[in-house]
Amino acid sequence: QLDTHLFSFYLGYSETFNLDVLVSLLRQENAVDLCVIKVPEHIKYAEYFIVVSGISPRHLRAMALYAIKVYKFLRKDGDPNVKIEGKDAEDWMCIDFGKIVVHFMLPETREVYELEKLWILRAYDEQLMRIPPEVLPEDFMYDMEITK
Amino acid sequence: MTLIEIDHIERARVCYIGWIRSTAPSAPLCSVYFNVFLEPCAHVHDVDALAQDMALQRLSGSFSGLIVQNSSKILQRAFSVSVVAAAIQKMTRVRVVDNSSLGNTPYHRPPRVIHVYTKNGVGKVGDKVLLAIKGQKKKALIVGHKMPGDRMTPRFDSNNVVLIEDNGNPTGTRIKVPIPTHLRQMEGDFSKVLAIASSFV
Repeated sequence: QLDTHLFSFYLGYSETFNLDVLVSLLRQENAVDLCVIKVPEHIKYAEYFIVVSGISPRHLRAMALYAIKVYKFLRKDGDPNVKIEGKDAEDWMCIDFGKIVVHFMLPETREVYELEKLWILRAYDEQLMRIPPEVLPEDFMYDMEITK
Repeated sequence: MTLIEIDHIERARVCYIGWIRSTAPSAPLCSVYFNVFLEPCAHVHDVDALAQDMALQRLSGSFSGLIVQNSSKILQRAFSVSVVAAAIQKMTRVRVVDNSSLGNTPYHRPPRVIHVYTKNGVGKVGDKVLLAIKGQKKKALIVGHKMPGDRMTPRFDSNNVVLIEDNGNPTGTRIKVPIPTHLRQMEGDFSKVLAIASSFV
């Protein structure tokens, strides 16, 4: 254990699965349009939000599985296990690594959802502004008393 | 319908997540809660049609796109109302909160739950349900219900639901309503819904 620790330290191999490792492995897999967004602190969701495109559904699946494989290799005791969400949807898969969230989409799906725009522009996003303002019914119960 | 122009916002803090509520339009001070509770209160003026656009701009600037509308037919009740606050089961009417066309086009019947995909027929936050919308069946994910849940989890004033395809992809592309963050810790595929959400609770 100590030997491999020193080995990876001296050779410059990363020991933890951090953002650099993920980005370099995505680049190595020929990911199309890699986009890394730093999520601001007040949104308590994740620290980094990554959107990647692929050439075909098979490419996306291969990238996702490779990312999981590398994560499992670099995982220490105490880090939770990570699963691929959206395995049966062939055009959009996600992996949530705690601090980083990665979305693998096909270019067409990416055009439809425009996740990067939402996460960069947050409240000023175009699609959000296009949603017509909601009118609630006249007798909507606000602030109701829950008898419990 | 009159628009409220807010001149001074003295303090704002996040209160509970409720809905747009206002007191009678003729009152000089108006308490407005939407996602932000304004306190003590702002000065309220009646805005005429010419200034409405300006007010809209300013409001949208300060409150990121939310528009406050004051209904002139507000119901003044002299008794307290306690409402049924149950979780979601078959035949409950739900509110679709994403911007899909199926969820937002008006229909003569509200969308109802026809099946809940859990072991018992009760749906809580994070459960999938089958809805009957506009004469068609559609799967959906529950993102908030009226029933009080665990401590330190949000309770909503309406049963909110996000439409989902059979493969798990959301039908709409944006969700304006706040989404609970404890969805992330739950078992299930929620990252897609969290990715299209614009605000979290």
